[in-house]
Amino acid sequence: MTTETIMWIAKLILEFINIFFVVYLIGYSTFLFLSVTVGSSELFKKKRQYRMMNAIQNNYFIPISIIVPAYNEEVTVTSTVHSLLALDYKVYEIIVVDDGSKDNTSKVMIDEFGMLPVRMPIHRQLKCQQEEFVYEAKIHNVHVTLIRKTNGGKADALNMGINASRFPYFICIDADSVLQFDSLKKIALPLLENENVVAVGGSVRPSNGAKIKNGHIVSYKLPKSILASMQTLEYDRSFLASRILLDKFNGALIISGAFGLFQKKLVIESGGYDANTMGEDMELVVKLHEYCIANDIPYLIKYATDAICWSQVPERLRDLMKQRKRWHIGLFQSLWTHRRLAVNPRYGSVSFISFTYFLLYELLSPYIEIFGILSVLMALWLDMLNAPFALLFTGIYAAFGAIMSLTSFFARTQTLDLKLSFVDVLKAIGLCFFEVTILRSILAFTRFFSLLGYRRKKRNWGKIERKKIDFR
Amino acid sequence: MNGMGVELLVYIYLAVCLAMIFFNIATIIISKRREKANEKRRALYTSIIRQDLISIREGKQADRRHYRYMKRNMRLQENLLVFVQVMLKLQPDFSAEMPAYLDQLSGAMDPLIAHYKKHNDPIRYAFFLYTLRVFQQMSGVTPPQVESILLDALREPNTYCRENALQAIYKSGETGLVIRALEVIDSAQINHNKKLLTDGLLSFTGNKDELMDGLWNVFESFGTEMQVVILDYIRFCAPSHSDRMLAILKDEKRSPELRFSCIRYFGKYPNKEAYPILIEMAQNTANHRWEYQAIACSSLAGYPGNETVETLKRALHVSNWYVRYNASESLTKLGASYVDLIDVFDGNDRYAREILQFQLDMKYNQQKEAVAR
Repeated sequence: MTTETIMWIAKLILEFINIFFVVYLIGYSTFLFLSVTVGSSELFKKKRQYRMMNAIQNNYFIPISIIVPAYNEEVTVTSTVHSLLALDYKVYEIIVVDDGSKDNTSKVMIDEFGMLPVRMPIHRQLKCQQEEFVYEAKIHNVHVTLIRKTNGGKADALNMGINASRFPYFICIDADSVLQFDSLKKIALPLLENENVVAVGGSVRPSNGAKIKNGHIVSYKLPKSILASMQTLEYDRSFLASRILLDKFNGALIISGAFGLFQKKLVIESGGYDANTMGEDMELVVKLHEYCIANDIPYLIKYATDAICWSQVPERLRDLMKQRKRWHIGLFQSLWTHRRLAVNPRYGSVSFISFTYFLLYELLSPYIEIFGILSVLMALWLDMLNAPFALLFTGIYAAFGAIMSLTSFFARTQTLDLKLSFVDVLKAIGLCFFEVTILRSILAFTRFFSLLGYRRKKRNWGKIERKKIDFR
Repeated sequence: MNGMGVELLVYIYLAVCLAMIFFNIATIIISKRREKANEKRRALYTSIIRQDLISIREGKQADRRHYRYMKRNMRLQENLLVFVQVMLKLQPDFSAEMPAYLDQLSGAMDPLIAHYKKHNDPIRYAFFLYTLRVFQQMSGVTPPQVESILLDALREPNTYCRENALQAIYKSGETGLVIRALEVIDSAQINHNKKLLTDGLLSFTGNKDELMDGLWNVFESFGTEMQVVILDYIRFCAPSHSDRMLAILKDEKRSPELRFSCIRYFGKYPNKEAYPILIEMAQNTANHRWEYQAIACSSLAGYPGNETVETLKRALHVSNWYVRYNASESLTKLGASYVDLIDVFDGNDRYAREILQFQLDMKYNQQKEAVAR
């Protein structure tokens, strides 16, 4: 083979790569653009609605069980339960499931709330590990149950909570999260609007930087930690992207494990949380789609933009990388388990839009991005790179991503009535570029290597360093 | 590498997003200004309405200039919102004058109906229906034209429009209007949450007995779902409908949902004639009837006696978890003593023992907490 032929083949390959990336980027930027514009308009519409609804809201309620799975949460669990007891809602119960913690999670609960032992038989509708003991207490007319069980992972703990719950709907929240005082009312509203709603996702916001008292925001500013601030921008963008837009056509594939509401009966029928996956929250939602469509059950999975849950985000890069690795494995497991949804007309938009988006732009994106970097290096080596154009294009693309993040951030803070200082505005503008370039690249590499050493049955809580927060 | 198509597209997207950021900033500025403007408006409206209400108290008419001013301004939703807020604030001091004031203002309100409906914005329209409801409560009357608007609004696809219309209908206190509303929802097969309907009926301000009699008169014309709503409403309201409830309970051709509602009714209002039926249901272990059995076990908590205790004890051994749970709960509520239950504790059925022990633990903890308080 002559050098000319080799060059010709290389050129041809690069041309194909070029076309692939053009199509890929058109798809991604269009999706991002649509999600941010549709999401922002939706938030403004909701805010307007809320202003009017303030005057017309009624005091309706649906009894709800709140399940708090906990593993080594002695630092935060009592604060979380106190915050749950301050919720403005008529009938609900709290079930804390201690998944065989090695610290004093159960003890601090029993001491703080004066809980008493009870020999509670568990209605085992979903498979889960054996309970060791059960305590209960009634505080401000709210029934609080503590179940200590053999370690089995978060999904297993959630299944135990579902088994022990007494109400027809349940909410799962993380033990380090805090619900805003009105979040139960807000998350239950879609159920009253339409009886076909089987699950509702809440809106998760980083609590780092927020001062919360009895479920009310006292003050808000961007977190001191640069990493946490960048995650705030990232959360806002991704919530607008994969939540509000997909919600428009009943295509949400994720309801965050930090705050989601589900119809118990349907979850039990579909098999509950999968204890063998790391992304049990996503897996459950994908499973609900599949189950309802396969069984011709009319269903809606909604997203409540104004039901707010404040959750801690990692402030150390190592913790963040660990978390994202876990999320990526969970994403892979969910999509692989439910691979029959891929390009399947039976599943309609869930298959062609949601599943395809998560496959191409979430699961495969780190591989595609790194492949892109390698092909640029190859083009440079072969002297086939238009360097000024490549730089301009990268710049434009970074600016595009940054503007998207900023738009989402301002739309969210504005519609939630959070007052931002001038310093925070400047900080957000400055950090949005770092977020789309540096943080995104680091996380792309993290996700790229996440599947190495992956073991299917590994049960992992993926702990990050917790800080004691006074929510009272 | 080139990619001019993408570059152009990204430029366009970028421009739109920049526009959105400006939109955000503009919205922040506008909403701050709007707040200030609303404060001024609130002060002005308070002064105008107060003057008119004082005039009415003194036996005079409200100022016509004010009327014309209001007629012009209420077309803006912001103004209407402030107006409603001011009216609600003044109501405690001028409750006697409100009906006359609203009557004099009704001419200004009528054109608003078409105005708010034609915009095809459900949030606007729902809010307008809310204002009708507030004014109706203040004035104590529902004019015929408002009645037809409310009934018409029940066909709106938006839940809030329907719910506000229904709330106004319940607050009208008019039996005929409520029944007509339920008929509209039922006949048009409108998917309005059943719990909202039952809870809403409970807020009916008129003669409840008359409403229940009216509902019984047309009961058979409704579909099953609406019939369940009606039975649930009656269950929450009154003990004096045992005969009709008993007839439905006995009628095996009726939908199970209707009969479940009747079983619950007789749990709340114990009845001698219903008792043997409940006992029979609690004893019937046929698999397909487990729901009857579970609900009957729960209802038997209102029927003390040996036969009840023995039936519930037998139900503790049923394989269905809900039957066992309800039976144990009822036994605890009935205050069955340890001696009564000794055969269960000494028996071989671990599940029966455990569920009963759990209920007794719960009761003991409640008593302990009550003493501690």
